[in-house]
Amino acid sequence: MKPRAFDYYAPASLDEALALLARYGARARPLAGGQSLVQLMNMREVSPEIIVDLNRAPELAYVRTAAGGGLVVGAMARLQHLATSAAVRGGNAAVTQAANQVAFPAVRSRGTLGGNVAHAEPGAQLPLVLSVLDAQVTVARQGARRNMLLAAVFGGARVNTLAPEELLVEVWIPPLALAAGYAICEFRRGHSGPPLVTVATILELDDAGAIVTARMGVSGASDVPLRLREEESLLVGQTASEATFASIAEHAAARAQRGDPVLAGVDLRRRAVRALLLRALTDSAARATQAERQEGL
Amino acid sequence: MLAAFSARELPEVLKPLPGTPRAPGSHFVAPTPLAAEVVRFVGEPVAVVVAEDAYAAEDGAEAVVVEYAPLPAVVDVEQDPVTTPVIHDGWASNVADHFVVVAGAGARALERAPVVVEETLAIGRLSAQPMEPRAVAAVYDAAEGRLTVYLATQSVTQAHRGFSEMLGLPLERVRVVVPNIGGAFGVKTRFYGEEVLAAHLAMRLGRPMRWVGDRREEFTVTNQGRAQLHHVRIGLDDDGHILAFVDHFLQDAGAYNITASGPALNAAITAHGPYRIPHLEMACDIVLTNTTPTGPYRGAGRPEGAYVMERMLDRAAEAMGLDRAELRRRNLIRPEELPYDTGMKRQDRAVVFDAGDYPAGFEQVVRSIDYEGFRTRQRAERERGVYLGIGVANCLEMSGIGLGDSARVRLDASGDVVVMTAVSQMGQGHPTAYAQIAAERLGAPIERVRVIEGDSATGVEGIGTFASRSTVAAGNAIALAAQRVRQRLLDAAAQQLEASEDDLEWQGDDIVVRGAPGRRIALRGVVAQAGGESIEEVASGQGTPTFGFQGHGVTVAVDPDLLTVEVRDYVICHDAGTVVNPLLAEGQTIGAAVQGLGNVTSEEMRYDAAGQPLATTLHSYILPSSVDTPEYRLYEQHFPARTNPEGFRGLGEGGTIPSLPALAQAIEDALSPFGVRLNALPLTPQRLSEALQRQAGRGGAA
Repeated sequence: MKPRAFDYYAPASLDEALALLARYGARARPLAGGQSLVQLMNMREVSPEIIVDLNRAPELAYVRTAAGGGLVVGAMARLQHLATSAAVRGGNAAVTQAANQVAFPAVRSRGTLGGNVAHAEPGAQLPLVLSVLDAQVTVARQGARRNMLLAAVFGGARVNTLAPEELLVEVWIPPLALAAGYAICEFRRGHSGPPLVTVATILELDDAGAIVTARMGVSGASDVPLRLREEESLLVGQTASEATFASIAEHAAARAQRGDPVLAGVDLRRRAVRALLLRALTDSAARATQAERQEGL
Repeated sequence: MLAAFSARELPEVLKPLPGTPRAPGSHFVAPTPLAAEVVRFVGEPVAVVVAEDAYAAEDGAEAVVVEYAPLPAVVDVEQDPVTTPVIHDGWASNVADHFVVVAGAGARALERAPVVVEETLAIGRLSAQPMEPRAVAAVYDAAEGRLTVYLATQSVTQAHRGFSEMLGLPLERVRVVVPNIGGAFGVKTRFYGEEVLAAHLAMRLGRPMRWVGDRREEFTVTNQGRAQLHHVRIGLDDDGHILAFVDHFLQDAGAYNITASGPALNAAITAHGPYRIPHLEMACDIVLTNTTPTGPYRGAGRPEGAYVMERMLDRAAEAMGLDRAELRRRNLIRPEELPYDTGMKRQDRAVVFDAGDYPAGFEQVVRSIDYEGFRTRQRAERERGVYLGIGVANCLEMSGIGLGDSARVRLDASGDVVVMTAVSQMGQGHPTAYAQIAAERLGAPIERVRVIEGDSATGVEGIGTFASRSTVAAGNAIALAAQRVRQRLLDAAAQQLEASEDDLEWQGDDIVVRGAPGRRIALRGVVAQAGGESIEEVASGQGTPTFGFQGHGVTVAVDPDLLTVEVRDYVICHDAGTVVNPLLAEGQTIGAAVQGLGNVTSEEMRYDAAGQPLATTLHSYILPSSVDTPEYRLYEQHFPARTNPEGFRGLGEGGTIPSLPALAQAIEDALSPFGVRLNALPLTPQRLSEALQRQAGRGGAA
């Protein structure tokens, strides 16, 4: 469990990092918090020739409140910071909760938002929650930047769609509507085991209890976070009720295609999607009603 | 990289690792340190690479080219004697050993039982995963011809003989030192090939050699545990009294038969439990498969034995419409029946339960877990969609087995005391407990006592730390040796002070006459008179088993969707015998219980049909963490064991033993609305999901 030899660069700025990625392309891998990449390197499942360590480039570690609400987060912002910062909670409390659900404090202290997203682990919390929030990312390469939907980063299990010379540098997270109720529910084995299935839902209700907007998704049911668009449109206009939510959950459960024989097979993941979605929708509706009342005051 | 060797290039050590056949007629078959022609399980070492550091060594290992010609894999322990390929050439089948333990008329007694219940029960395969993997460092002094090995082992004497035998060195030129070990749980009892290779290469290459296993090696090479399949029948009379218990079971030994027979025999003896069983038959086949070898792991067969008995009692109660606790009450051996001769023989010696009050212990558990009030709570909670279940289970923890252990106690003229034993600790706190025993028997201040364990240079005879035997065997030896040292000390002091021995007391550096502070004599002088430089005594503790009661009561909530298990309450009552250190004793019991929780709810070594292990990292093999650990409520009984002078009982494994059936019973009870029967451990969410799917396929309620 020792990695193959690699060349190590610790650029002091983003520009320097992008220059290295441009020069070495697919031979290089950027290193953020290292909580997944280093393990994979130790098991020799991944063996980059060149490591570009981003930890000496302080300009990537920031959290700002965006104009018009929401958050702008640098790729090297640590998960523990996201989990504990009042500014993050004020900008989007769903991010606070999702960050808190990642592993445990020691991992969160090193792990970063950019690394967590780019690693594209199936079942992971933040990639799902940020997808459902319609977050966007800025991807940089030497001399160029582009923006894209965060959901488009995921190309498969532990595969992202970025070009080798590109780096995910920033995440823009829109604010939650004041009246929105969100919920994040997950299934994992043991306290610190990897998340197997995570479900995230955001609902807005009108005064009569009818659903105005619905956003939801599930990770761990397939190789990439799955946005449940069909279920979303089925929900809009309906009255929030257990029966409605149960039928939506049943509908979504059939989408679980991923499974492994030890931790959770397809059947167990379907059970998890069904149960978690029902719980998340119920919680979201309750919170949305609460938020509605608070707004009314 | 400095050097690399295949099996062919190391002919000197290409012989089977040492061990003892269990019985005449059994096939003891041990691997060679490297596989020469046939690789029999994933993880079996095929080459050794020597380098300056672990990085270069792994590069070298990666560069090794092995040409494999695939052979059919045998992974199932239930094998067709005709069509299953044999794993070792020349064998008629993969059955390595067979034994039967009988009491009374055995299986024939079933014919007379009005009620007979039959079931197949399984206990899945586990990996121990101590925090520190196996490790060895060897230094050879060519000028002196002496080999020193630093080794993480539970048996310093067995390793000492092992190195001597494998390397052709006389015992006096080999020294084995056991430093602090980061956990062992039974899997470091065995002597492994890497240990021989490190020592051999230290000699051959003329430089110190170290091997430290990594997590993947710990998952594939190190012994695994459990892996038993039981076909059981229990016969009862119309009042629910057990008439006969008959169990024909298979122990999956993995690819070699090295250490599997011990746990299998422990399972056979432990199944009996604290119950009156006039007729019993435990028949076992030790069967080989193309998997990592199995051997002792916390409980070493005892949890499996308790599992089959207790689960059969659950099934019998159900069949007879009796309450599960009530059926147990009717069969518990009463205090006045002790000592109780079971009629069983273990290695030709009668198995006799020594002392205790089993019904009192069981009632403590039943009362503390609120067994009577539970059904009301269970119904109320189910209305709210919460699935509660309760389990109660018992065992007798067989401890202190194996031949004896010795101890040497030395009192120096300076007043310092040294205690030496051949057992070794891997976190239990032996140095504290053994210093307490010696200090108390000597009347010495505890801070003067130093304990030396796990060093073959002490020359102390013994067999090591496993089977909850250390304090029973070595602890008695220490007490006896310390008493003899004290006797010699007092004899001398009494003479010099012209006082009665009973009035003497050790105070600081002096022996004083109690109540007469002026009458004192320097310890140094007394020791000089009694023994010269020091007073030294060696004594032996016997290996006579003790059987201590342990009962568990547990309530759980099972998530009916995610199938995760949350322990709501956990009560343990056990007979701790004479306790040396209450805190250490409690730690042993709780730690063992947590491992039982992992056994049932989260851990599983699963293999696919080709013999590939499906869990080789801690991402896929889920160990319980401190956060998953419930608050255990402990009650202790203190019936001194009658089989050793100090009344000690082993405590290392009792916490695991009844936890398997208690938890399984509680989980099954919680899921009873779904009509699912849970016979095979573990009960991970995935396994529960499979059971519910099978049940649904049968048209059950789920």
